[in-house]
Amino acid sequence: MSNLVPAFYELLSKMEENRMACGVILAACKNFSAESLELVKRDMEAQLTDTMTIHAAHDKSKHILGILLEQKKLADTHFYALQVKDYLLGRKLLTGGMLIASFPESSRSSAQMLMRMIQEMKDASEPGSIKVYEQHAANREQEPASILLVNQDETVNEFLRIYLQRKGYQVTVAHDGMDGMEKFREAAYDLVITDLNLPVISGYQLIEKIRHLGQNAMSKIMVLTDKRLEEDVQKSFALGASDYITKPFSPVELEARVKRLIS
Amino acid sequence: MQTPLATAIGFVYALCGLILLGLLALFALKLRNISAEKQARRCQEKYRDYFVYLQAYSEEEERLKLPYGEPTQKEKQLIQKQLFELMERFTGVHREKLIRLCEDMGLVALDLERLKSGWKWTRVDAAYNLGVMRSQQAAADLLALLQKNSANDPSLFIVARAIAKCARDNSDLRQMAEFVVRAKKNVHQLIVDIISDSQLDTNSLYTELIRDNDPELVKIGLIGYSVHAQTGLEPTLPKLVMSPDKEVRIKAVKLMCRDVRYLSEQTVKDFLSHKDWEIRALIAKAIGTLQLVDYIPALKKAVGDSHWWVRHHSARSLAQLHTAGFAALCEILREERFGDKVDMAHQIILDDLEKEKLRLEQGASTEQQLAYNEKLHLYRKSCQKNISTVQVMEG
Amino acid sequence: MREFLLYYGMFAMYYVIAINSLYFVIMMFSFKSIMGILKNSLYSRFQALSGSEHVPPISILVPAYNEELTIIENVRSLLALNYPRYEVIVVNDGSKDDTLQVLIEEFSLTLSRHMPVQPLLQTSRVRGVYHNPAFPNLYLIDKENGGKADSLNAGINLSHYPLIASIDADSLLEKDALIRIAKVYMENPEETVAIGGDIRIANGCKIENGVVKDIRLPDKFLPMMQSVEYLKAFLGGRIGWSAINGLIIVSGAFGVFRKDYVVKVGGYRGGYPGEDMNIIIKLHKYMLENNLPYRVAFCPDAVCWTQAPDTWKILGSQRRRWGRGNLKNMIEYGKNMVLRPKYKVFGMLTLPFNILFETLNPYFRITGLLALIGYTMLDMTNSHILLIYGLLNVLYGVLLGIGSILLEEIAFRRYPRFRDIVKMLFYTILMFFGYRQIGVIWRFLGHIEYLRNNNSWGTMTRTSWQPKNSKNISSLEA
Repeated sequence: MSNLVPAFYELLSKMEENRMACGVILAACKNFSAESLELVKRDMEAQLTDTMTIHAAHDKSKHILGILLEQKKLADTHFYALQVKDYLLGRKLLTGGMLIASFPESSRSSAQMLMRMIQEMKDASEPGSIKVYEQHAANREQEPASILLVNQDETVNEFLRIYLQRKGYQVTVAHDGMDGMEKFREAAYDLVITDLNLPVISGYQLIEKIRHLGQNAMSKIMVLTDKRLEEDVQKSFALGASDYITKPFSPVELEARVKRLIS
Repeated sequence: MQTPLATAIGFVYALCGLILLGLLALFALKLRNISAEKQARRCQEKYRDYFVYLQAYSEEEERLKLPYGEPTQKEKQLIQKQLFELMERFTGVHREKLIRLCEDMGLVALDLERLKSGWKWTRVDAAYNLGVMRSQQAAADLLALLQKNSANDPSLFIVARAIAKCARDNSDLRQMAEFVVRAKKNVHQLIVDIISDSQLDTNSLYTELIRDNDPELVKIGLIGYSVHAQTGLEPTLPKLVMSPDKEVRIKAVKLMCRDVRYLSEQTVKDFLSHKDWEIRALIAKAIGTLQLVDYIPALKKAVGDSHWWVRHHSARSLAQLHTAGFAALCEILREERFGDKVDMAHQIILDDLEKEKLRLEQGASTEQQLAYNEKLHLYRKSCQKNISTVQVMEG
Repeated sequence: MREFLLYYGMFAMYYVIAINSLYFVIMMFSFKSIMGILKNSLYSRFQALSGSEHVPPISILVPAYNEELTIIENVRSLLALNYPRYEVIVVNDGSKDDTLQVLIEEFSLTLSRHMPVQPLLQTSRVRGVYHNPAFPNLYLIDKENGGKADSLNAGINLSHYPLIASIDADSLLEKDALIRIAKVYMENPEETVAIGGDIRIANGCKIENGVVKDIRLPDKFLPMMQSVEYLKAFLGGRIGWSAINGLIIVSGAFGVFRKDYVVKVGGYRGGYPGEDMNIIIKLHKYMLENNLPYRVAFCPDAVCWTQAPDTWKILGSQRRRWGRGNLKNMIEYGKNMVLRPKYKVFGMLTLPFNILFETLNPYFRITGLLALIGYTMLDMTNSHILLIYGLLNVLYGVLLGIGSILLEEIAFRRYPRFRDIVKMLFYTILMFFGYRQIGVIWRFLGHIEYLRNNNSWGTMTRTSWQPKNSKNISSLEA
């Protein structure tokens, strides 16, 4: 068992008792001595933009540095992780990816969360990447719902990928109609979110083709587009789309509609 | 000969000088652009993780944290442009959170300051930025900036859009619209598009404009209403049909033609014999779209209109009104021999039969088959003289 | 004799100075309006506008003659433009290859023999209109051969919208080119009668699925020359001309027009090349004669990519055609419009400029050069005159070239690398050693062709659709 667990266990359970939030950052690191760990901790405390209580521990066998941030929710934990990363990178200490989580947002049980996180750290990830620990992925009771995103707007693609993944969906991105069609043929998706104005195969043709592929008739189609013309809305629904959202859009509303369509 | 030649030589020297200047400017500009691009890329790289953080947590209650590592003014502006890309695509809490972030970064204050700059394009840049950040406190200054503009200024619409985005209430929007309408001719569509960028509920604005005395503002109101829900226009619209301004008449009729409730028997009759062909065409088209079978005889008469579009829409609408309408088209063939009326009726009949046949080939219900047979029968009966055409249709 | 040659040589020298100085002034107008253009495009969200219901619908007309190899890709790319409401009308002008068949097959089109067509303009016989409800905004007109102008007229007859765009079948529009032009229109719909787009050379660029993916300068000599040439004409020239409303041409490769006015002036003229210049001259004439405020605009950020000829033979025939068309237009309209105050900037500046410096250019330049060569031969001690003549030509040309590259760098920056700039500069200079001279000769040959054709066959002067004798057409439009 990792020595991070005993180091943090007490703290975590205290937080759990007091119903307080607590952020956890794990980072794959080079080994260093206990003194330098203390140094690192002090350095970081000085560098972090706000004052707060942090705890650090180090697992020599697994080369993991663990940092605990008292009373920090996931959003803040993520933000401070960016600075931790900069610090570690600056001193060439970082050897792999980082994993972050926050109790109770990420998991109901802090102990379970910590154990699973350490386990997940074993899967080597790209150096410098910051992953958010997902309970959904850990539980695996059921496959997460899958979404195919067909859109040319890179900004929207990037955002929805990050946003919907955080909401527990599996997101695949296609950049034009043809790409979307191929990806759809390869795997079944619960939902396709598509634009109408796409090169090679237009959004309408894509909707039609998806509707005609009988075996995947289960997948729902949502249109996300700049087009605000009534005739486009009518045509989309006539071809078999289940929802129509125009840009600029409210991500909260989009997610609500996604949820309604998939469940 | 010496003096003209000397002038020419002088020209050669001047040209050399200008070329040198041009080259210097060109290379300096290119190098500056390349370094600016590099800086932008570096900045993007540096704050990539930060942007992931922004996008993942922008619906949480607490404020978004400022970018760390003390960004320089230049970096702040680069971050701002990148934030704008996100903000322009969102509504709701996500946009609000990002606006709040811009405020916290001091960008709103900075741009409010830049709005007073002596440089014109700095002011325009600031106006655009404030628009994206929907800064209501900037609305008054932006309106003042707009009023200072000359009518031919290319930045007019940039500032107008910024005002729409920052508008505190409908009166801001109205002032903007009034100014633009006076500065530019016939830009009502664009103004409505600009107004639709505002966060306010603009229905009451359009109601107000539609009742205004200025026909230019009325047009904006009518266009605005053609997009949004329409209620309570009962006394206003029919009055506008009498307007001396042709555009106003047409736009009012267009709105009325979308709703059966406006179309009393007398109204339809008036429109079909209106002096503007656009209005006759609009009502002819609407009868088909709204499936008003009662007006088949009137439409039949309109197929003989003097304007091509009126004839076209009337005949098309008849074809849309199922067998009864189609029968009316066929009657025209029987009643008359030559002229535009028969030509148009004939064309639409054949086109309609052709389309129906195509639809049948792609698989159709028995009902549709029956309808087609009936139509074909009607057509054959009405022009037995022209047997060759019938054969073509059957073949 | 010697004296005369010298005088004539000096005249040619001052002619060169005058033509270039005027061009320089026009370019200064370009510089003056470039900031406005740049900022306007920077601060507009074309993506959002491309979904708006307030954008006017456009009919895109694509005349096609023997285009079976490229037409599918082009129509596909046109169908994927960022634009709210538009239709694409391909006009097959009696192609001898399979242009019609490949289109019918690819889009499963079916013949509608009876689709009603408004008889606005007279054209060759239309054999039929093809359509498929699955592609509701695509139409294909099949008609007997009648030339490009005739095809455009046939397209106008079928078009359903108040604006028309003419596009060459071998050109590719950038996805937001149309919405950019539409914005220029929307900002002044009352007065704008025509808007031209920027034409750029696609040779050397990587094209995928009808989209220009990677922008590169051409590798070959001729396309590269034309690249620099186009840059100079469009950025240096047309922005400036449009600023003073003296634009004489909107390229047939990509332009947007008000349909009602095109119909009022009798549509496109067939029989001669240069129908794109012809229609603009007619629009100027019509609007000025009727005292209507109007504007012929140019939108440099709406880009259309076109394939430039890469052999001397094809380029030569293209330039001869231009020479022929230009001469025809100048003779036909020049005599009625030049230097008449009624025709304002267009009659007082644009037309004289074009006649003196475009149409007559070959004569002055060649004879001037010959005169000076003759003079030098007679008196070798004055050979520096010849050198000065050459230097004036080259230096002024290079200065204007640098100006247009500077405009490109200020506003558009399509070619990001430093060495692209160097390459363009190099070709700008190179242009004056051989390429320009050959161009002058081509133009001259074009004139000869015009005169010969005119004398031998009267059939080439089919002018039956000129506005004068088409009163019934103007009256059809209410």
